[in-house]
Amino acid sequence: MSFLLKWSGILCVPGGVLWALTPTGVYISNLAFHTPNVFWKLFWPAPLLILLGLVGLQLRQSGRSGLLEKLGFFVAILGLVMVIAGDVGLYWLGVDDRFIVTAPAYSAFRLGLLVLAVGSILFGVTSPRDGALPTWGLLPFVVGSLCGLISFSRDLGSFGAVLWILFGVGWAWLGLSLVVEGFSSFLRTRRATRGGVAAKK
Amino acid sequence: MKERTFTRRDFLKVAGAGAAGATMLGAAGCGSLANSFTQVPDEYLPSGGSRMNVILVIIDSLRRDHLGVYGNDWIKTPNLDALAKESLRFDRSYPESLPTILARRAIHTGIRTFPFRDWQKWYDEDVNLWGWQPIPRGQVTLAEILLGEGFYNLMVTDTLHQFRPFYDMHRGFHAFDFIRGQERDLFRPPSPASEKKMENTLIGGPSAAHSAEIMRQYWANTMDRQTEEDWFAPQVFTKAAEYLEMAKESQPFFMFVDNYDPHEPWDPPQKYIDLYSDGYDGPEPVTSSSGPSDWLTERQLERMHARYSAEVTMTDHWLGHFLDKAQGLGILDNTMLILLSDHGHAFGEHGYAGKVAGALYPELTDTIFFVRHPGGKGAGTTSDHYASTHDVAPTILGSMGLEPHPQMGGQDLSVMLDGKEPGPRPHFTAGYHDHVWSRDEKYAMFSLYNGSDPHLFDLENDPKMDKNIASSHPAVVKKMFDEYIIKDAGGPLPHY
Repeated sequence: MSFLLKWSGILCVPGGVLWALTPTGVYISNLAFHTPNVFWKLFWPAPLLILLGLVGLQLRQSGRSGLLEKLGFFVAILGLVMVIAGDVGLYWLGVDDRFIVTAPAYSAFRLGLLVLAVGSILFGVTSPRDGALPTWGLLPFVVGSLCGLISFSRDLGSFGAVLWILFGVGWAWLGLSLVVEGFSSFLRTRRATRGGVAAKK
Repeated sequence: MKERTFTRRDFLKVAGAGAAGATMLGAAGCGSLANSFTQVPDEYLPSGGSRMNVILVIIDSLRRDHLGVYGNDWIKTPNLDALAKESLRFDRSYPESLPTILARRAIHTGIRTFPFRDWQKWYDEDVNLWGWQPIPRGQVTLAEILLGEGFYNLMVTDTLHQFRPFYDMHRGFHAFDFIRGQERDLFRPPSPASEKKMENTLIGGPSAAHSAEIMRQYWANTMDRQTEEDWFAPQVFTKAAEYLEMAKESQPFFMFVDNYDPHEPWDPPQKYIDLYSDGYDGPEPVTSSSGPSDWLTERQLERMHARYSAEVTMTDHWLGHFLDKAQGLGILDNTMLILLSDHGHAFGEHGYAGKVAGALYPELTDTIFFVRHPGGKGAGTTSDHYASTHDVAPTILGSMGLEPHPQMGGQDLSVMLDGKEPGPRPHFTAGYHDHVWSRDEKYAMFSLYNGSDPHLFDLENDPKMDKNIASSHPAVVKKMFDEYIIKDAGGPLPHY
């Protein structure tokens, strides 16, 4: 069980990829159904996978993480929960159809995006100190998170869509770095084990 | 060999540089780079937001100085006054062009109708005023935009010019109801009974033949009236109240209620006339025959003004009926309501009666403009910002977080509901047929389209614009014409 939790950070890869596919998904949805809402209805797995992945990443550095890193983690989790709740509320439950002045679902979605970006930046900037996550994975992640912050703040058209994609790529990259590090570590361990066996012989 | 480790300081440096770069990229807009992204889909954010319903009410010909909330102490307008107290109220609202159709073009599109470039008179019998034509095909209307946003659009109007052939101002609306018979609407043929009504109708002045033609048609249209509900303002607001039931089931909705009263003919039920006039026994001045008012006696002018004021009160009463219905249905709790008028009307002030293009005085140019937010934002506040007809569409879109259409030139005044200021407007300009008008903090000026025959007024010392000082202030006149009117028009004005 702990093994699974430890490696659940890899879920950031599919989560990030799905996130990065948003502009394309919206485009296809518009083309096929004359509304972007069909895509948005199917969007929630992306933030959910990222959320599960982030929990896995945090578990890898539990005990070693500092206060700011923990804060970043919780802020990012809060943002992801808001995004998921907003998406489900807006496109599955139709919450805003009934409360159209306050638009709670839409507000949660948009605010959640900003909270997520801020939490991601904080998490990414403070994580290298803990050493549990590869630095080469965190650097593009921070830049991607910053791109997200810009694109979430207002509609920037195609330019914003590229920044949105980079945000997803950042998460996928972070998850991928975990895979690579894990594989390298596995190879190193195996090499060391073989070396040790050979030395004994 | 000592291995160099990537320290936290190094990381922060690189991250900081990357962050700064990305920020600059975003802040600068990075035109050329952004252009290279044109192949990327441009939609990536979820749509939604504060999707209020919208009710837009236009009251034709309603003068600003005829409302209690704007200082009038003798005309009864309790419902408009109450609405104003719940709204952001603009004390300097002017139509960017007038009259009726020109103002509505701006309201529907958010695009200035002035300076009437490429005016095409639609057919020979149409109103012969510069810019009076249907909304050009290439212009997108507010209703069409809201249609794309999933709104259910409803329109109720008795403003006859909007439903004349080819005008299609109801494009973008799902449901629409044209209340037939106002003014010169070719609704019913004259009859002996309607001709008899002409005997007690005061006809005369500079447009006597035209006035007679209008009244002949009007009396024919209105011969079947039985109760007050048969008058036009009651019909419009009653139908609009009925539509509210339908709209409630189709939220979000956009309801456009365009009420022609108190436009002439001023023919309200007697009980309203009795509020403001008694003892009059001559032929009734129910229409003004736009032009100099010297053909009317003082008593006739008073009577005409009283009949107009009576229609103001009747309109207010039936607006109240509509608002009560909206309140009862709970619709005002999630609906933004904008109410404005399109222009005023002269009753002998400055020697004119009617809507004279060469008499752009406050009685004609000063309008009312309220924005009521369901959350109470801006309630009871007033603004001296120059608000106008072409601001309506951007304001409605802006209040819902929707970007105004690129064609729209009006301002999003909804930012004022949050205590912010729209872009500065140090002056304002308007056009009416072959005349132009402008004002700033100190002066108001109007002239012919080529700058000739100027009239200039010192608003600080002469707010009612009684003393023309153009001849003694030629530099001010030139500045207002060149730097305000010509500049706002984007070049020399067309003429026809």
